[in-house]
Amino acid sequence: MDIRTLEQQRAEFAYNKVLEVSKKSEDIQKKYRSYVRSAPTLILTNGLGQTLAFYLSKIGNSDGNYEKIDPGNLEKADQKAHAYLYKHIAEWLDKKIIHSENPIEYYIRASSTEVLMMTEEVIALLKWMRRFADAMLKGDERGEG
Amino acid sequence: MYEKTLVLGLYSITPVHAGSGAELSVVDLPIQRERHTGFPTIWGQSLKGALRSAFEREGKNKGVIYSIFGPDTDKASEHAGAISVGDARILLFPVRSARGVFAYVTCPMVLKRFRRDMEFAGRNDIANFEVPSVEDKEAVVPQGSILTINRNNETLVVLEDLLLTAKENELSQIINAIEKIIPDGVDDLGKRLVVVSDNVFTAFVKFSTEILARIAIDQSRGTVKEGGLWYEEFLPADTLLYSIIAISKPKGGSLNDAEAVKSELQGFLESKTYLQVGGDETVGKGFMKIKVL
Repeated sequence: MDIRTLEQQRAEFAYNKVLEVSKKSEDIQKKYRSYVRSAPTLILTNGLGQTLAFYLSKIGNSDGNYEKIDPGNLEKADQKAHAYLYKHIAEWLDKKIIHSENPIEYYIRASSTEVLMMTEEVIALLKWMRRFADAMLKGDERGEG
Repeated sequence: MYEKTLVLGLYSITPVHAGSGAELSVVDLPIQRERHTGFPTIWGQSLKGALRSAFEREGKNKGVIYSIFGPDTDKASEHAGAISVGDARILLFPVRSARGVFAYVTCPMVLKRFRRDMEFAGRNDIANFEVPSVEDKEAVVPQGSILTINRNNETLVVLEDLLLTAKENELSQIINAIEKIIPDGVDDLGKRLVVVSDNVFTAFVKFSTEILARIAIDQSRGTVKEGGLWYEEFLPADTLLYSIIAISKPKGGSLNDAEAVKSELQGFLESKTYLQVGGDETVGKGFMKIKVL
């Protein structure tokens, strides 16, 4: 049995993901960091479903296969950074709450209390992602501090 | 010991940022919250500071200010003030509604605390209401609510993205109690009130506060300064909070007894009707309508 606190598990997951991104190009790091910082605001203002759909639109995966997004196959840094963030959120939701690789499909069918649970979990994860992204990734010279 | 009490109703007419400063949150500047419930609050020290500064700005007599609030900081050791300002607690939180624009949302836990606090303040005239019980999927509304939607023989209330089953109930006791502390000019409580479960209420106060992005411009370039983008959280306009002020015999200054402190404070607050609380005053934030009783 995993007797570590949920917070520890979130921290471990966030740390590993940000560490992964820290090995990518400077461009991707900057973009990823900036998207992580604005993610909670997007979710709190527009809802989790809208935010995930927004990320998908930014990734622009025209074949519609959202379970198998591969950031490596995408062209631009902002597409890649959005893809990493989307995948990280999706993976954590899969692991902890929904047990499905497609958060959008799950979101559409979920009851409103489930949506609240998903939202709460993503926000809790993003708290850690933000701290680690601020600490470990290259930042933009202007704007995001 | 405390001899008198005042109850203060605070209704935000612009977003309020009473900042916490010490919390690591998803936003850079979160608002103050109670540790155990996560409910937004305005700490007593913030509120007392706002009251004192309102008094001082009005050019009130120093002796009166010293009696009520205590001496200036450099002489703080001389004596304490006569009032004890309680944390402002949330009573109604505004939430977007599919019908009726927005709802005043509260929950059984908040109502029970309100009743207990009013008993503590000796206001049994306010603390005489029953609290309804409510399930997670329900929303208790009074008859004649403007929030309900009829669909397929079901009556619903849609708050933010949540679909809740409406249950009509006699909420007039609660409405009467809350109306006693609502500042003048807010008269649609009966139409907008909805009682949701403690869980749903918690979700609203956590996820439905206002989050704003703010920037600082580097004038020489006309673009955002380095580090000049931050996210700030606000308690939305149309939130109702209340606080209890306990009053004891003054230990210094020019007032002689608790009754004098009470009437000075009450008279001043009644004449004010507005109070500025929290940060961002110069960008129009933190204005609250007040009622004192």
